[in-house]
Amino acid sequence: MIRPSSLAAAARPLLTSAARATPATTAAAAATAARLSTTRMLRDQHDASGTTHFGFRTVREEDKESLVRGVFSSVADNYDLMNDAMSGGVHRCWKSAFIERLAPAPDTRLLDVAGGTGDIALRFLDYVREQNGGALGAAHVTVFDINPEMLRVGAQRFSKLGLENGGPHVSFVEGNAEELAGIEDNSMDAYTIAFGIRNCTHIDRVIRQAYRVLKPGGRFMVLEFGKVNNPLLSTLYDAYSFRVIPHLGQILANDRDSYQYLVESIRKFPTQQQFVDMMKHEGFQVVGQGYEDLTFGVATIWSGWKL
Amino acid sequence: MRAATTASMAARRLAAARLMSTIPEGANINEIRQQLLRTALQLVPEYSFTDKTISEAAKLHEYPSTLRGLAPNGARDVIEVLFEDGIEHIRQAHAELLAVSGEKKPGMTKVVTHLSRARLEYMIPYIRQWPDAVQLLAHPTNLPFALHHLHKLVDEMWHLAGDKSFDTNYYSKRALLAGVYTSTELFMTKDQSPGFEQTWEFLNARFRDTAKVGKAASDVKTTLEWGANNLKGILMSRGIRF
Repeated sequence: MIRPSSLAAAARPLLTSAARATPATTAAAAATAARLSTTRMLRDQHDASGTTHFGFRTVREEDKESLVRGVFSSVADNYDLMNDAMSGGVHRCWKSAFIERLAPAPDTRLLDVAGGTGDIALRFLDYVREQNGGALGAAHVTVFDINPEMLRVGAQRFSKLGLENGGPHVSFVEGNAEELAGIEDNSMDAYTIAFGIRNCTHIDRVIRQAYRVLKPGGRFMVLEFGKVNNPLLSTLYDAYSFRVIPHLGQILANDRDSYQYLVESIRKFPTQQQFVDMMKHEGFQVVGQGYEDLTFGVATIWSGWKL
Repeated sequence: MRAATTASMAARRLAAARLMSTIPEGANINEIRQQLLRTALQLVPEYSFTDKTISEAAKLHEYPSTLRGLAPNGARDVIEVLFEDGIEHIRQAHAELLAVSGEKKPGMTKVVTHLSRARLEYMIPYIRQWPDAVQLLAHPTNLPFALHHLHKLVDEMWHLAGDKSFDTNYYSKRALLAGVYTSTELFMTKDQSPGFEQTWEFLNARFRDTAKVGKAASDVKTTLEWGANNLKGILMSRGIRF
């Protein structure tokens, strides 16, 4: 889906003056080239025969969802342990940085998608409490996940802290991120998805739904594994990912295949710039590059605004 | 009590809404960001140079308070808008000075003193909250930013005055003016005299001290130390000792 406004915007420099200096036409050509590469990349994600990637395997589109569900059902109870093992504990810093970038306020309504066990939701509430002198105010987070097991773990965790599901500050909702059924249009101040979007079959639909539910002025934030551009570090990182992590999975959770899927899915995810283009495609605007690398690109925060 | 606060809040919002311009339809993100920061600057007398100012500005424009994420450096971005506006202000002041002088072009000294005073007058609405900004700018990560803008300011003033020096005078002139300006600005934060009379006297005294403002090769160190000691005093009064 190409928005008419973005087409018009790209065509404007060509229309205004045929004799205009080269920089404008080069910029227009570059924009067209970028859009073509985005379209090509979106096409690569699902080809005409209705298949998509599941890690390095090719599977039918209809099957991916249940395969992903299977992965997460089997890792749900050990999810935090798995994260600590894979990232050496650094994932906690990434998630804290993510919430600090968001800088929520006591009146913020957050939709945290694929947030099953509630890591982000908890940090969100802690941040508000700290900034607001101990009170939560009207801050509310809706934790949305496709997997009931992950939601169960999350709701239990929150219940132990006195934050009941359906109470004034948190609610746990089951559903598909590509539809966001039950979430109204223009109802959320912010949308976060941490380490979840790479598991979705149709990333463009997820972004589109995010745009739908955000209020004008709302912020779309994605925390995900990115591409390490530094060649030396990327060699070390690849070695660690493919040689160490699946074995850790076997030792810690007796499930090598899920971990193999996880490291492969990171490689299939679009690059930082490609993902920014996808966001812009759906109508989000960005400040600056639109993304920020953490730990040399092992993780990246993307931020788009509905304005 | 609650009725009184909601009424006063409504009155403040109305006043602020009259001051700020609305964001036009179809504005792109950079324009929205600029307008947000301008509105935040107008709210500084109420909320000072803090992140809350930007959240309140967002709410005034009927956006969620998380819109303050457009300015990730927080209050520093508001200060940047103030600095940029300040440069525009002195350019206008210079144009007015030329219009008033007519045929007889004013000398360099006169231009520099006039522009320094104009820039300080620009600070009047924010001067009571300025110590908070100074505290922020004194932070080591913000020091390059602060020095960059101070340099821009004094460079602009000398440029408008017609300075054409090409030797070490270039540096000593700017350093001297930086010292005079910052020390007067810090003095101004505590000045309670009507119409800031004492500040203008202070400013003139500092210029006299620098003797020949046009061809200075004088004691840069003393003037900068003066500014630095004033700054130290302000920070100590806020509990930051070193």
